[in-house]
Amino acid sequence: METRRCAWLLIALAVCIAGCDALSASEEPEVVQVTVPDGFDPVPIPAFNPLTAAKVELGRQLFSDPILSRTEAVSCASCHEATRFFIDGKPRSIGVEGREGLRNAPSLLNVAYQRLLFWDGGSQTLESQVLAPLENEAEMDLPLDAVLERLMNHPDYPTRFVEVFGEGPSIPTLTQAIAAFERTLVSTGSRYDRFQTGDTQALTTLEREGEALFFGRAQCSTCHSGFLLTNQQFENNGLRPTEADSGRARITLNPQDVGRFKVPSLRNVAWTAPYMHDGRFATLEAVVAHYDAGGEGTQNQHPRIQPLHLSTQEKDALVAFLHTLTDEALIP
Amino acid sequence: MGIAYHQRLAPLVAVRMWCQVPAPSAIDLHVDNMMHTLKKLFLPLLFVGTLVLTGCEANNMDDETTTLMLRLQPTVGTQDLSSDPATVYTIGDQNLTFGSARMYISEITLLRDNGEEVTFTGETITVPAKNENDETITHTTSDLFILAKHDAGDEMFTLGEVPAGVYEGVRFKLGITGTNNNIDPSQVPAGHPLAKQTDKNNHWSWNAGFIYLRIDGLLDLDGDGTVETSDEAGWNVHLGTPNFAQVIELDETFTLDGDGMQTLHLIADYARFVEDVDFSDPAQRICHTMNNLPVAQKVAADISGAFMLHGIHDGHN
Ligand code: HEC
Ligand code: HEC
Repeated sequence: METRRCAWLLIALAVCIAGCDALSASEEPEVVQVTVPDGFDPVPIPAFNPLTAAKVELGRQLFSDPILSRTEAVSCASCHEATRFFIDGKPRSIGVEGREGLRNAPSLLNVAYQRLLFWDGGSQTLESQVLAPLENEAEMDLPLDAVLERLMNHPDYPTRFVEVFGEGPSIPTLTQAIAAFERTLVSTGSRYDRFQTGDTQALTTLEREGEALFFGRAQCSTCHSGFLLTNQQFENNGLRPTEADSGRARITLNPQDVGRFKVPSLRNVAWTAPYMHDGRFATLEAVVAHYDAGGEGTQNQHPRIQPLHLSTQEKDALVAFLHTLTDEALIP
Repeated sequence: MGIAYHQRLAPLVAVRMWCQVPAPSAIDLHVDNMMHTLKKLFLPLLFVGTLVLTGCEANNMDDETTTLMLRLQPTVGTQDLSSDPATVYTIGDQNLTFGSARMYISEITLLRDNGEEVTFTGETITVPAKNENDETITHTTSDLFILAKHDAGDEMFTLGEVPAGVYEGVRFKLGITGTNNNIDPSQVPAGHPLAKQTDKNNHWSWNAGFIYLRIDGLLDLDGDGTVETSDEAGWNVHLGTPNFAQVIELDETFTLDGDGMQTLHLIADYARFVEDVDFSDPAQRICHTMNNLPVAQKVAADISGAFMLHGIHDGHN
């Protein structure tokens, strides 16, 4: 079931497999191109991990396979569900044996573009990121030697890995396969994109009012800018801090980074509730109310987070605009 | 002046240098098929190497070299280190055991009496790393790294070929700095010291960087001579981040006689790492560097005093 959904998703994501007739005589694998529309940067694919159809398929299967968790009950897909825009819908994720983690699971759509991973930027590459949930006690909680042992004793994986990489399961090959799959999770279409490329009917009057506020008086685009609606910086948007999580300061130790988190992409945001690094807001209305109030006046709050004095209609307009960022092809 | 030797090719390269035979040139490394390249490279190299070796023996008796090994013997005070949970050590007034005892050593340099420095090289790897702007780059290093897994025993490491002669000391770094510390360990081939270890974590996935010193175990909280196994009885110091890398220089004169294999014998006293940490204070029991800078600072300050040059031995023991 999950498998079939994923398969359509891949197709829907406009992954096209480049023709390889010329190479078919040799053993060169098919190279997968992830195509994106104008206005999007090309998807960054590191030279050491080119996408091939077989590798992406292997990665997709590993991503959904619960044998990578100690209890064999949790897979990557448990917290990043393909049919839910790759989130779990919980304020904070639940891993093996019902253990609750520290943070809210972000969507993995467009994750290939993320310069640094995690809310605090504490993970450097999509490949190395794979190992974090495997080892994390509150996520999959399986030591890496056990992960490799399970893969090597599996009836299919060893041959699949050899077909793709010319060698069996190892830390480099496991991480490359999953990262390759993740790089194909590109979501580019939305009513807002159609509006921007000339379809003036794509947004309603209210939504256009919201757009004007977002890029104008409400100054949302100070941080939510560019084709992903994030500047990929670490900012403090005025949320009351919790002792458990100092944000970017966990990595940099800089007191000015306390309470700063990675600015999230707002694509598909209407489908990725609850919101913020700890899932504290259940609705977009609550998010907009937070910004309208000018944040909570926290230490290190960004100077642009100021009371906005929005009318009820303006708040509705902002929320309506955020709804136009949904890739409708992905709605289950 | 630094003399660098590639570990695997060391005998060939070193001897070629002394004989001043031109290097085999025009070897194209940019061939797609690695196996093919290796095969193409290996035979000519072997051939040249053999020629050079035979040629040299006759002519260059003075320029002798030694294959130098490193023994980094772990102790706890005057006792050998053991990670057996039944082996309880007393450090200060604290009884404790060691579960993990691991360290990274890099930039090992021998200091010659003529002022020259001899550095060593390891296996060359080309792997992804992050630059200072957090961009992924391709990074190649031939540096020699040592990951001493002392909780698994007293290991020997190959340093490489060094010229015979009188030396005045050895310098090395506990830790890994520069771009090498920003390597993505998930892409380093298994077997290289910087590869992600699958038994005990050697790298923080939540932050770029290797764990330079990984020591942990259990405490005897009630003072009855055996350790408790409760959560509160756990202690650990996992030290990393470039600020805490320590350069250690042991100034002691020794001679390498250029006769086959010799071993540089260093001692790492794990008791010294934690002698200033007060484990009776629960706030000092857990240190992953970033979460407990006061403990990280204490341990880092004690690192250089924990090493001793024991001597040079012939052979590999
Ligand atoms: C128990 C739930 C859970 C599981 C299982 C899980 N994740 Fe996550 N994932 C999260 C949470 C929570 C975060 C945010 C963590 C943070 O920021 O500290 C996250 C973050 C990520 C990110 C970073 C996204 C970004 O934009 O920064 C990636 C990539 C990712 N996960 C991939 C995976 C992969 C691959 C697996 C399986 C190997 C996996 N996850 C398993 C919950 C989970
Ligand atoms: C100073 C930079 C900044 C400004 C200005 C800003 N944001 Fe944010 N936004 C952030 C950061 C940082 C987060 C994540 C904070 C966290 O989780 O701690 C965030 C989170 C969000 C989220 C939640 C997304 C998710 O997936 O959890 C929404 C929705 C949002 N912002 C909308 C807006 C709107 C609408 C405006 C304008 C009224 C705005 N933002 C202005 C920085 C900013």
